[in-house]
Amino acid sequence: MAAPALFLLAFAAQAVIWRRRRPRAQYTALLGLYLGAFALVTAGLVALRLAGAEAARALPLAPLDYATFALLYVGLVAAFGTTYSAVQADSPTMSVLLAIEATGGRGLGLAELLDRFTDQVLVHPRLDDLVRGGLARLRDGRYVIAPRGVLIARTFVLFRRLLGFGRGG
Amino acid sequence: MFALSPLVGLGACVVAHVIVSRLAPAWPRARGVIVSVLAGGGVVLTLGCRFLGASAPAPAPGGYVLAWGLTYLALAYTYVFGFFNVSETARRLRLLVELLDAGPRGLSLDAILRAYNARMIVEARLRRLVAGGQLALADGRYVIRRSLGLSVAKLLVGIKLLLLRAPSEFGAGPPPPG
Repeated sequence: MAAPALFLLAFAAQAVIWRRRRPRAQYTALLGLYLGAFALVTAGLVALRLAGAEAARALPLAPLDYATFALLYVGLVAAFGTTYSAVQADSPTMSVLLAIEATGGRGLGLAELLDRFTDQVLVHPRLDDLVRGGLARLRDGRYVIAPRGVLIARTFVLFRRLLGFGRGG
Repeated sequence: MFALSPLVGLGACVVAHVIVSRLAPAWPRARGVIVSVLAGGGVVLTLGCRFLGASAPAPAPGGYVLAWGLTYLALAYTYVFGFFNVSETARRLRLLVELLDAGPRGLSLDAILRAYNARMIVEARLRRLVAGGQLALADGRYVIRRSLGLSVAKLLVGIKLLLLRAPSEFGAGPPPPG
């Protein structure tokens, strides 16, 4: 119970912070917040153990308990981080479903969908993300991949080769 | 060591995914993913049963097994949606790969849009949604067929409203300048 409870507390803190002022480096801030909460709790557990406090009996102090707690918390944060990418940037799949649902059963044709989902909506913001995130640079009107971008792109290209798949997207 | 069973399960899931993708390339990708996740889950379950069967000194051993199962599900979700699905559908990654192929000269916006554009993105999603049974094509119009994908989309809108105070990234505006 401790891991889901800590995750929910960190999520509540994120909601408060993000609604007031969304950080520019969102993933760095996300990682800092959730790992910071984890580090604080771990420090608290160590302090309680050293103090031998009676109230600490229900907390994950034994190695097996702590490892189970830590892995579940990390798993929950990783799963949320994955979901957050579809929160931070609209997913085209989800946007298409919502646009079709909004017609109330009439549906949409391909031409209507292409009118709504243009390069300005689907491609330009993601290019901006790459530049803002330091994965690519805009130099003399040309987009050039940065070293961090090379590392990420090569990792995924290798992974897809391992699976025997071609280019995604 | 039993506490690491979710990680062992995740490793088994990834290995199974590589094997399945190599041995059965004609399978739908979703089927390969489901089989792999089940294979990893089977490993976690087996380790959990061994833990329960051992004369474990821990009280309420079922609670541990449940926590490891939940941890495995969270890690498998991260692998499928945060790694595999990203490699399959993410626009940023596809753009990065185009830029990687272009080398140090890079690409102009026009060249990028010739290689990867909104039409390609929309058509690929429509194909997947129709093949997955979420959409149907009737008289040249796409209509909702199943509500699962739509429910996920609405859940994401709820999280956006909670965190960004807008139902879409465009309504939320850009993050403040650094």
